[in-house]
Amino acid sequence: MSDTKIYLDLSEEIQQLFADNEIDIANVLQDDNVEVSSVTVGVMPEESEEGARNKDLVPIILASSASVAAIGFTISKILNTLKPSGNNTADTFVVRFSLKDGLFMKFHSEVKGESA
Amino acid sequence: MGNKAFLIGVNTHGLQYSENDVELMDNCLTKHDYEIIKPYHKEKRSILEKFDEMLNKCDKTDTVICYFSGHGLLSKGKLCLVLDETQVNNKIRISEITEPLEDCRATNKLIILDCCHAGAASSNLQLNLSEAYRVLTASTRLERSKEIDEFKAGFLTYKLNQALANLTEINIGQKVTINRLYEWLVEEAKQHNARHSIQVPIPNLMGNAKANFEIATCSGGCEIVAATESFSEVTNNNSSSNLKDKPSVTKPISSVKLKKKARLEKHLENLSKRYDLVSNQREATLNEGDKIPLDALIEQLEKEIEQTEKELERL
Repeated sequence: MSDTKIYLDLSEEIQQLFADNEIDIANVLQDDNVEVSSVTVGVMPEESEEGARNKDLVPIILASSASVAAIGFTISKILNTLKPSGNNTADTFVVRFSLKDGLFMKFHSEVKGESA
Repeated sequence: MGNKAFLIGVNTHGLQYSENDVELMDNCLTKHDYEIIKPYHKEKRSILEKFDEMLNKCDKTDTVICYFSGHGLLSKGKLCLVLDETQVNNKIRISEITEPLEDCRATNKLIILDCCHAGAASSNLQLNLSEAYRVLTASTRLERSKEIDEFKAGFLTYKLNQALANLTEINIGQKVTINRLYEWLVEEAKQHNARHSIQVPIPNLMGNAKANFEIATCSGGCEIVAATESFSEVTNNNSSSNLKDKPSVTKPISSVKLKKKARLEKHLENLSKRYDLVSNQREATLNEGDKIPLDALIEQLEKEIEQTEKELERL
């Protein structure tokens, strides 16, 4: 099966959590035996504004589409482990397919009761 | 006193102006007698060798600037400066810049980072303990800095060039200290965000605030350049013969005031246009909730128009 580009779109809270805990996505997936071809970085295709470009890079996982659920589950598991106990937050992850660019996995974390 | 600047700019992953940023910094720092070192090869080992070479030549009285423009990446929470998009490992960990710089003899040290996540650089430094070691960044740890087509440069770099190339005109003073420059940059970022739809992060300055060293002075040969000068104009005017032919210090004060007046009038005109545009947009908005941010913007524009008018009156 051919590989698909899977872009990881992590909310600021989650980026902060990963940065504070020195988490590397590639290591996390490897430790959980999720089959991926490689993990690299790149620009989120649909994110640049007209007239400007972000100097930010996001993780891109090269893997078969069949691995999407496993990747999502592994990252969610890590998030649950990292969050302090009793933290009243709701985590969501949304997968969006794009014929042109590949696949986008958006992870979002919010305090319960607040709207997104 | 010797001044040295090490400038790195890499266009990777779709960035277009990082290398132009380096030329802008070269342009403005040369005017203040900085010795410029620009690594030709964008390969990690070669860059770090040149960097070490420069640091070894520094004296105690020197001011050293290390500048980077390009993509910043957080890897295991640590900031990395991306040098290549095909070779993942061709990136510089920020500690590879900060550690040698800490050991350098120079008294004043400044790192300028025009990249995303730049605020993460502070995690590698005991900045409060370093007397004259400052880090100026385009963004905080999780913010995204931007390059803007209108400026043909990164926002921070464009404004730095504008400040250092126009000391007299922008009223920043004859001697520019790092704290004063930072205050000006913050103000510019806020004004930009009030006027433009493309929002930029507010620059960040880290380190001991008492280490307020001077990074430029007008007596070093600065000249007055129009504040709205574009990158192409700057680089076209930057031939060595051109610089030598120009008077070394300033033009008469009346000419400075005239230029400032013209600039303020233009600014006022732009503000008025934007005010009309936002007011019309507010009128056309049906949803009450959508009107709130527009009201805030209108209020901000009104204040800015009032300030500009007062400034014009004073002139």
